[in-house]
Amino acid sequence: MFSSSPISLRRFLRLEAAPTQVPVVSSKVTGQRSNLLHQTQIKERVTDRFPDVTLTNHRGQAMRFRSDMISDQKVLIGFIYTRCGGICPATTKHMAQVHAMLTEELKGKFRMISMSVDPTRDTVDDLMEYAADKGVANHDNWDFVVGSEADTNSIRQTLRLQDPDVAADGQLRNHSGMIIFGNDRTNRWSAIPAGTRPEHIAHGFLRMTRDGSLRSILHGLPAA
Amino acid sequence: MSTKSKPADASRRRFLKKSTVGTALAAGALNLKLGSSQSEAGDVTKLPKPAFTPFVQALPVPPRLRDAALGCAPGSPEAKLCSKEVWHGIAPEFDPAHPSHHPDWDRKPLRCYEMTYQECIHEWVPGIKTPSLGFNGLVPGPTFRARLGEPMVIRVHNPLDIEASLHHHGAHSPSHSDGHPCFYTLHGETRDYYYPNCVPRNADGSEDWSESPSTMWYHDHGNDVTAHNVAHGLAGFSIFTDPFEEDLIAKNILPAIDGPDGEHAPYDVPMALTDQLLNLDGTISWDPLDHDGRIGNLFCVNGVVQPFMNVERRKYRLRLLGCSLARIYELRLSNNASMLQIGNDSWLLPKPVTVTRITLPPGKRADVIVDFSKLPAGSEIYLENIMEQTDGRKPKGINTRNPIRLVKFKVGGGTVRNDITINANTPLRPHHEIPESEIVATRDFKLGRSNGAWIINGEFYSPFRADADPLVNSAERWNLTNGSGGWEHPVHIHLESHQITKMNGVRPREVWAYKSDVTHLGTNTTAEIQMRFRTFCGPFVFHCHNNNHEDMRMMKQFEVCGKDPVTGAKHPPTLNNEWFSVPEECAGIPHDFIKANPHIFS
Repeated sequence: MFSSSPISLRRFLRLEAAPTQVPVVSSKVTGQRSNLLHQTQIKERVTDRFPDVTLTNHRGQAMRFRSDMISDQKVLIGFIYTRCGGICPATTKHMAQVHAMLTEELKGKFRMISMSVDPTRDTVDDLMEYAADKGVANHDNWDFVVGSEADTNSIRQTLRLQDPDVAADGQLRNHSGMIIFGNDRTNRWSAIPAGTRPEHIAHGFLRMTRDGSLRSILHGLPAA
Repeated sequence: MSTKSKPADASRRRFLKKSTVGTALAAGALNLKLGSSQSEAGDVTKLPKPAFTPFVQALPVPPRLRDAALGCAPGSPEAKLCSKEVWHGIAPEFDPAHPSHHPDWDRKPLRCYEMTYQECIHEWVPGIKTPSLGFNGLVPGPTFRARLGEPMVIRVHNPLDIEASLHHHGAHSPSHSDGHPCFYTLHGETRDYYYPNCVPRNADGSEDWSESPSTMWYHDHGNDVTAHNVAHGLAGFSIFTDPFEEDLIAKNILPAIDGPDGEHAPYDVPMALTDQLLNLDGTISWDPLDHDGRIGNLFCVNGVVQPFMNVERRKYRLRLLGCSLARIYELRLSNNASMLQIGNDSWLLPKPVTVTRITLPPGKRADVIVDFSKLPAGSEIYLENIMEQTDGRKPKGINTRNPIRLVKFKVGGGTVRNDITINANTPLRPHHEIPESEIVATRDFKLGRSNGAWIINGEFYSPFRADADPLVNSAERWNLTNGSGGWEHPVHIHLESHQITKMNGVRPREVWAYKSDVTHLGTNTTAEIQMRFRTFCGPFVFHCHNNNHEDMRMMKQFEVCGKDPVTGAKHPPTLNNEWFSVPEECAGIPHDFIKANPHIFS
């Protein structure tokens, strides 16, 4: 077992603290640094396509997927079902370890979502029992959520979680083991396999969701 | 002795404001069950694209990267690790006292260059101004041009708020400057990339000139962000020569590479093939949640959609580069004329191979001679792609009825003098097969898919685990298997060339039977390769060059391990051994993870 490592996250936090520090680059070689992208407005957010459907969390509270859980936030989303004997327990365990690391570093400025991909069977009580069993039921910034089958599929499709192989996608145990994370303010999103070590997940999350990142202003999404 | 490896752990100027939320919702609501039919939206080739007229824009050839006077000398105290000027310092191998540093590396004076990750406006489609990323603001980036044995340092600045790691693809470089995906140059930081530009040495200490590279390229390789960065334009050519190739040029067997102005000469043409995808407002279309592999519908060469090139009635050397993220090209000339392939990946073949088709997966290069001399003046032929591919998984197959034209060659008139003399029998660079007696280990690597991401030998990539620990200056046999019928994976191995000995049990096609740095694994394919691991110790990676797969962890790390000078025993892989004991600020790898896991590396 390896320990979480605040030191290793320091570099990214340094960037987070000073996102606007841009070194003066030798103009002889590179010319004036362009401010082009800073001046460009985000035309369409990745999250504009996330369905704003109502889900229920393990505390029985109704939450809207986009407006309540994602808009203007840093989010990390994993996918589980409570009867899973495959990758879900590891996903949740890794997310718990990431939560511990990030809480230490980010002091709660992020949200975690564990979304059920088995909406016809998983109930609110199942989710509470599952979260309690993993020892994470009482984190204010972590919701285990379930929605209707249609809404669940809508989210899966929008987040590109369906396997392009239809037969593979039809098997629940093959469900996506990706953890999706992003920062709606910077419009930067990425993903990482949940099976990677929690340190990598924390690293990826910290790097990609830091405020001040300008990358996603560069591009728009493909036409829907 | 054979040991199995133990896994050590934009229509034009029309700006659309579209509400796509409703569309996504509507589409989602139709799929009520897991496993219900996939939407047809996967076929990006059918997406609308900015209007343009093909073949009216001349093929641009990237300018050369020019020598620069650096503010402080590489390796000087002002440019040392964690210095204000060069945060990441320079490779430990730059130090003449380093055990790997050969005195021959300093036979020629050091050449210095400077390169910056920059935001730029690039016109992939003429008239459509697309915010892009370019090295020194150029797409493709400026071409590196060096002669073997001329050491160089490229000081790379990253003022952008993206993670960056510059990979010199096909080069034989120290770990620190190889572009290891986790050796980031982060926002506001600088790294001195040291390239000794040496060839590896044979067992007797002589230089192995068979490894001398010709056509290389460079691109960003930042862990998790390679696909994003390359898709936005962060790639360029790197063209090297050595005395052997210079002799071929001097004898007019091959065309000149260098023009009198120091730029690229006209009969040697690098061509980077990219399939770009733009939104109707001209922005790059990028879906951060797509991990299958990005496919575009705008066929660009050297950053410009479907250009033309005026050619004389003579032979040209075309250096074709598969610069796409996921598209696998099957190239031919529209008149089905044969070509002479003279190089595969970085290296010249032992002799030209006559081909009519060229398979070019991501990362691969094909160095070919095309003869326009037999064509009448005024004729027009095209370089075409006949491989149909609509998503990132794999091509649908050859479709000769609907070829995609990439470049138009307009054949001029006039008298041609001094055409090059290469023919199918011209001896090129001698090749030496790695003898069986040199192989000291065999390792199996099986590529697969797990829960929406990619694995090799059941594991996701971890920068803190040595998946193989080859002994420096030894050779190994690797069996690379793609057991999937649904996906294809072009595997790129860093550090040195590898030799494909068998593809599914038989000798591979002739052009792939010598040296490669990309081995394309089609569906249900096993490639047996052999490779030496010479000169440099430290961590290197191999991975699927479908950049989206690579970002989703279809990558492995091998650490080349040195020998104890007294006992001769192999050092265990540590990723932070004596010569690699650099602070995390240098590498980007937080070493405390490693220290916390000594059992993994023992």
